[in-house]
Amino acid sequence: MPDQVKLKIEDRDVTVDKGQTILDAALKLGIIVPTFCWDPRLKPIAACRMCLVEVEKAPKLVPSCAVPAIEGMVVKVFSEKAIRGRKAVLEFILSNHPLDCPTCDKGGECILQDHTFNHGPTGSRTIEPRNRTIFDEKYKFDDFPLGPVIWLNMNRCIFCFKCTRIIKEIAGDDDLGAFNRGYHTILHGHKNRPFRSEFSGNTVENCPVGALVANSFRYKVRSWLLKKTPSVCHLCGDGCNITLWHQGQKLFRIYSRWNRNVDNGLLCDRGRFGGLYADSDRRLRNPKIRREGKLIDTTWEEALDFVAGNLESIRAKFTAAGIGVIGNEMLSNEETYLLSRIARRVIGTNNIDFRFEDKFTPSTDLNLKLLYFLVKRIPFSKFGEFRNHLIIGTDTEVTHPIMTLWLKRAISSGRSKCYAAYHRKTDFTLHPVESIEYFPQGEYNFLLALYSALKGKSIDESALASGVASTLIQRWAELLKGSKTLLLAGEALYNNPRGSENIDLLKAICDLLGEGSVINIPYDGSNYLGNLLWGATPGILPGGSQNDEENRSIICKEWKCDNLPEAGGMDTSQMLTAASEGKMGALIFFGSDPVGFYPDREIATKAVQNASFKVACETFLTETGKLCDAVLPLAPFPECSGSLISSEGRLQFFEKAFDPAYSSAEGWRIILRLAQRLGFEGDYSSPSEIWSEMASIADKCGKVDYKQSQYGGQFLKMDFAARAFSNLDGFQSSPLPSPTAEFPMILTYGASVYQKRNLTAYAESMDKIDPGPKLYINPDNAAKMKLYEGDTVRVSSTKGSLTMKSAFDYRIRPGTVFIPTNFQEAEFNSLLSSKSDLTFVKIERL
Amino acid sequence: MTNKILFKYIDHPDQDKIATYIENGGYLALRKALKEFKPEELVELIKKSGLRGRGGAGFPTGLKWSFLPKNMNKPIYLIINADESEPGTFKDRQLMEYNPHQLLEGTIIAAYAIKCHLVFIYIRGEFAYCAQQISRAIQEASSHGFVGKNILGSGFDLDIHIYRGGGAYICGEETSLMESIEGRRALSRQKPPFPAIEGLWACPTIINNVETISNIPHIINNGAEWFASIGMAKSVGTKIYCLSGHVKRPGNYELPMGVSLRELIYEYGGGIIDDYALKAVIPGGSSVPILRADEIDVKMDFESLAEKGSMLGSAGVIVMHDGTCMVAALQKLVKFYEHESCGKCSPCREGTNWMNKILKRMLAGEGRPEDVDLLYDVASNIIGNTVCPLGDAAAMPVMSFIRKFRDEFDNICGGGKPYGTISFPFR
Amino acid sequence: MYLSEQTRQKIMELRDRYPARLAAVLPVLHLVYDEFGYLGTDQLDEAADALGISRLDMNETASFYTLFPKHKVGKYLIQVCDNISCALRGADNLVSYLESKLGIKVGGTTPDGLFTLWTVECLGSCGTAPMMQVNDKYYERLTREKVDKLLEAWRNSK
Repeated sequence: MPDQVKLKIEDRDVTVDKGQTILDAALKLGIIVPTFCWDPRLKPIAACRMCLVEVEKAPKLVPSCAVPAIEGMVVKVFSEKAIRGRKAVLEFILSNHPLDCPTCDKGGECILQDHTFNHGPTGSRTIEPRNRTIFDEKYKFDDFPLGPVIWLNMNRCIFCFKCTRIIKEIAGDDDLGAFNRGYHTILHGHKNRPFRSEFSGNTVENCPVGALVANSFRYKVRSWLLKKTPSVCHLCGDGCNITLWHQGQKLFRIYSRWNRNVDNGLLCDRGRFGGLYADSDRRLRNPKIRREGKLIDTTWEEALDFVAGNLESIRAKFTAAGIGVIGNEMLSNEETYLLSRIARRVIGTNNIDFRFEDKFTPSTDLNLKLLYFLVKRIPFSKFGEFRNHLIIGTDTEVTHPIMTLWLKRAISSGRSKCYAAYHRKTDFTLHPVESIEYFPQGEYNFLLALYSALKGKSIDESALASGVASTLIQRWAELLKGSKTLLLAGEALYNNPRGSENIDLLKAICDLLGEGSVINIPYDGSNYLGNLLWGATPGILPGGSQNDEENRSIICKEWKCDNLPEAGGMDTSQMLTAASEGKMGALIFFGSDPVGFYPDREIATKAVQNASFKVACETFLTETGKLCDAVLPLAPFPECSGSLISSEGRLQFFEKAFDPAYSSAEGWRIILRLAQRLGFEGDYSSPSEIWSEMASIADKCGKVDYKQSQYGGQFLKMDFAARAFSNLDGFQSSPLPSPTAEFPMILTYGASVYQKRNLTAYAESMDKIDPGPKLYINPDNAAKMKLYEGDTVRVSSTKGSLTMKSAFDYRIRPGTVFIPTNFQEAEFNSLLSSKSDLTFVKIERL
Repeated sequence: MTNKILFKYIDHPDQDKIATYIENGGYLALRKALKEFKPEELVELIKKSGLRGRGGAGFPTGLKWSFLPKNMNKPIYLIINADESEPGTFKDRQLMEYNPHQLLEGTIIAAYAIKCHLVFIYIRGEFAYCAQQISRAIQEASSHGFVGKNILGSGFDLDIHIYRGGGAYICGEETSLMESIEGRRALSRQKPPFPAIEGLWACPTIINNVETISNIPHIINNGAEWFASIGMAKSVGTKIYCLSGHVKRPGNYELPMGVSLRELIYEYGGGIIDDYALKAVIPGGSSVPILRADEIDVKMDFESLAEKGSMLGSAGVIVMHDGTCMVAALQKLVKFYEHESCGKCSPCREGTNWMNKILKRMLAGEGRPEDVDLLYDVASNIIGNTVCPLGDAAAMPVMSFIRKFRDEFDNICGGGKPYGTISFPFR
Repeated sequence: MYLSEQTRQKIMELRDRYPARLAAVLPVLHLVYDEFGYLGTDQLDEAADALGISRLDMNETASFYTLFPKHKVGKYLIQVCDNISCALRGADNLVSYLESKLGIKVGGTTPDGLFTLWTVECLGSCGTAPMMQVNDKYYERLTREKVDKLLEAWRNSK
């Protein structure tokens, strides 16, 4: 085999691929060579010299992490010379390392401790005072905050440069660097800017010593006292595998659980630090019901009886169609299924949805089209096989931070090129990515222009309507034509007044590109896919089949009932609109907060107020909850078990780390107890019992092959009937409405990169990372308005007005402003109206 | 003194001007090389001449060139290493200041030989005047058609960039030098891959010293046999010896390889100043092991010095008389390496700092008897364990100083008065 | 805005001079140094923007090189080599002589902002020791007399 080399390590033969290092070969044999600076994800730098081994005929010891294995090499890891060399290296590393292990947060899990124990000298020969880097001359502090979440103690640093390499090589950011030279080298962010890469937490996890420590863990607990529970991150659709470190019912930190196919050992700060929201003491502790206009604490018995009783009477008064259920995309498969079952079977309605942040909820037809693309999914790890990546309508860094790292990896390997189109520049487009910024909601016109360009038709009109120079689109068409392309379609494509047409156009574009081109939809939410598959929309039944006569009869058999409600049913928008007009009897909110996030605060508020009875099941008291008649405390993810389907299509189970804190309860238990009070006769003792029932349904529907899946996460096999896509001949460009003289700016909004709705804001460090709502505006626009950064401004639309601080961001498209949605106090949705597609605003300096 | 090659026109005031240079036979070698030789033949010629690198390691230049991969579609780069900063060495500076065209001519020929079209001359940042001289020389040369497109009608194109350093000794190490040109912190790289395979921007790169390259026109003009006949069997040609320290006439002396160290000090250098006796000599720049006064009957070439346990290095001969305190002298060297260590690998970064701390303690009269062995041990732990030779360069003098002058170290650590000083009068 | 239009223009010209843009960092550092006599973070940030590279990269690389002062120094930056060859010819006493003449310690700047005194490592002038570098120029084979004259001349050139 010419591409392989054979060598001898410690008298054992081993064969490795050409180009692999001596260390790789040793690891293959199970021989552990100690390392500090080596990391399989990073280019070797051979700085720490801890992995020195002896190679026969080589004059010096060689660093095994960086030297490639060569045919016939004879390597000795444990020869006297090699052991002496490594001992010498360790002595050097220790010669200035402070002896503060008793107060160091890394104590007990420190690689330097481990290596010293195994390979190090027995005593110290340094009598000089150890050099100290003091950052605060006045107080003589050894450590200081590098940024909002990370503290640096330079004295403990052993210069493996893993942190700077992770930030530069993997995250592609320029937030952390090494300064000065030689003995005086220090790590630091940019002098005028705090260290706040959205992947900054990885530097802490990968620091071999206690030089970098997270604010949220500093001086809190000794690591060996903590229990570790494997789990899955709930804060986006990537489904990163995480480990929860906890003691009793207290969650201390979240580390990566290294799934090489999903996260490759990396987490974003939202997941790592934001996930600690579960530990907040501002959580709802007890069930509450409204008595004499006030929400008061009560027992579960009383609360559930109260809710069930009210629902019964509403059903009698309004019929089942007067009751609606609004869940959310973070619910586990089991919870979603149970919610769908209680709605359809127990209450008897198809009024169920899980999206409450979308203005344009996709229709059943569109939902089914979205599911169809699942038949061919590309795992993150295969992104590098595509020549081009075309990303439309999303800021992947916000919706899928870890998927973005895979994209960056594909780019930096030189194999792939990325093209990103969105209505503004994003962090991702700062990397070597070609980007196009179209008008907000210009997706349809942009896709039409790209399609026409690929077809060789005139694109002038559609390009103009999309706000992009036609030459630019022509150029992309030229570059993409004929190449194997991965199309990543963001939420702006289907959460769009022309969602269905967009998907049709996308399909047509995909067909025009090179062989092997595929559309992938990175769903925005940790279990968006699970919610679609397990029946959380009116038109799709549990198991992923369309809500029609035939499929209903299959479900009926499983559920041992005669009939299910006929097709129909309302989605979130319809439910809220109906309720606001007083046409709904009851609304059940399961982890959803329409008042806070539905893009029309007036309608959402009216809906909740005008529904005769409303109940919210949630972890923190939300704006919606405050208006409800009953509020039930829902346990957050560390306290629940279940399964999620990531946007990659990976089914992953997670176990609870500990029982629900306070009086909160797991979601499935709340739904079950409520269902039982409404006449449901079944019972489950655990989510896995629910799962086996779901599995049998999946079997009957034949859409999802769950048998492939197991703990640890595997790709689901899915089979959906081909959909009919429209004939595109009649597609015409449609100019968007223009801003008026009174309201000259277009308002855009969305999640900020560090936050998931308002949940993560409850985590300790997050308020420091992302301190509050701001109005982001392009500096050019601001200059024209004589606006300075930090000025207080009033933003007004026809619906209302807000007051907030302004911030400059040149990534925002001129003529538009951006408000992050994650801050309840901002009430961004009070500016929006569900009746108009675009929102125009005016900005006044106060 | 008749055999000068590189310094032949040292007394000519206008040798740095192209007119004078051409008058004195300049750029004939370039014409000859372009006209009469194919690139491969030039590599063979240099191989045959026996020319060895003058930067310190003494690696055969022709052999280095022949390591370049054949038939690659990547560009090949040539870097002229003019980052001369080894204490005791000051030859390249003079070569560049007095005769920049000699270097330039050699550079163009070398680039032609290795099929390189872009050369970087990496000049130490402090040498502002050198940079001026070279830059003027490049302008002159291009106006004569020696640099640029289609040189002398041969179809060979060449661009030469002057790249000024920023004050870092480590940049004289070839991998650090490349990192420096690439615009990053100049941390040395682990070899392999060697620069000839994967160097600047991962392209094949050849790095040669100023003195090495300056020899090339003369080899072309006079033939490989002529060059090989000068000096010793394996160390051929002339060498510029940089004489400094306690000699009456310090300075650069171009002499055939293999001149005796005694001759160099007493004949050319005029002997020791103020009628002191000789105590020790560092024969090849600060990094090489020191020689005692009784060891100076040695020929100054790569092999002979290696036999004596030292090295020719960059031929920076530093002479110390018997009023010198060797501990203090060593501390001067070690603090230099501590200051210049890039900080990448642990043994060098921590080791140089540790050695300096020990030496400073000794000089302050706080040395313990066991510190001498400790210092020796620390140094021996650095050797061979670092990324680049800077660690070795720092450790070798320490070990040799202790080996040769152990009594001074023992004395100072035993609480005795130093045998000398490093604080010499400034008149 | 710190950089002069001229320097900015020169930096822009360096953008595509080398096979990779980052390679222009050291030349840019020299340009900034030539204009200000030191490299401040603000100036470097601006230079990085003009060159079109990350500000952090520019600052990191700048911090590695000791040729450039990072803070404002005197009009005449006197750098005395005190390495072995110069020390053998009296560099240590040259330093103390300068200290007493200028009334400052190594690392200090005279109150009138005229002189800053540093010791540095080998400047490649060992054969003409002792020596010092003042701004860009070398002054070699120094004697007390020579130093006196030089200082006098600089003081008068104020």
